[in-house]
Amino acid sequence: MPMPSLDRSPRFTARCGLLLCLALIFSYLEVRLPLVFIPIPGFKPGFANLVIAFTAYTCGCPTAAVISILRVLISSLLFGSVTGFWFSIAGAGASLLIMTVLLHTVRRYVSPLGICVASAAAHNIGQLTAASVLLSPAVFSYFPVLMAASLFTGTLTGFLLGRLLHSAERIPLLRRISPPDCPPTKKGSQ
Amino acid sequence: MKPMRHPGDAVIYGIVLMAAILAFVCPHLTGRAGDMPRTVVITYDDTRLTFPLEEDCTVPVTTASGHTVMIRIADGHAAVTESTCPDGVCIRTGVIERTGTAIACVPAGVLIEIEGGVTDADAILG
Repeated sequence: MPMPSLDRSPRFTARCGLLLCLALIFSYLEVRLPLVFIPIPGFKPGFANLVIAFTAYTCGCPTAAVISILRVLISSLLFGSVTGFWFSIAGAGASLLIMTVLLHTVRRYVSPLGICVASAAAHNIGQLTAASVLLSPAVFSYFPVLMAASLFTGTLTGFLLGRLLHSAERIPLLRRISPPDCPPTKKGSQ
Repeated sequence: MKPMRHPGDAVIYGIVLMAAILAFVCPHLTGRAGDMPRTVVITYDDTRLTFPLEEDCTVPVTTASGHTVMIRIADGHAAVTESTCPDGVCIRTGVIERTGTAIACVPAGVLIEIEGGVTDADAILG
């Protein structure tokens, strides 16, 4: 699999900036608006992940990786903590890894729903692993709850991602970028 | 594109669901869920008494200052049921069951704490 190089056109840069800003806005909202009606600590709808998955679908996984890492860095600097940074980066890394693997191997068999559930689960596993290293292995007692939560949030973001990808085809700025930077969504060339 | 009709989705849902169920069930089967059994630690004067939280019992404690405090351990809870202290704050504290929680009877100088077990993962994951 050839590693696609990042596009350096102004159009592409502008799009990445937009996506990064969106991801940051969602991170901020998730930090500032705790879901009081769902009393599970650490529970987030994962809308930032939605932006990352959208990027992976429309601009390719390397771009998604860059945006994801930048998002974690900037959001930790602006409204996070040092420990929070390690949790976030572990979660984001695991989620990106599984997203990349799935999109490059079984893309034609998996819909955005599956991608989002898998990446939400991977995000939680990554966070738990970081927490068990940094704090105590006891946090793994929390695993079943987080897995169940990722089914729920993954379904929500996956549904939204499906609708978004459908709508984005009609918006020139958000349309899928031509290969080799990204493989086609529908037919699954890779 | 339709977000349905993808067999891989079912596989992913299945794996995540199985992981959740297995992780929930396995610790109970192997008995590793709580790891350390929780204990009730009663400290007064220079004495430190330890009781398993799982076994029901009533512990009368008489301190050097002359106060008597009755501590009841039942159904995985611990509570002060009777006390000769003047204000009875220890009785009104009610039951404790989570690791790290405590009842203090300051006039009598008795401290009841729950120790051991898995520390709660709450407030760790953000």
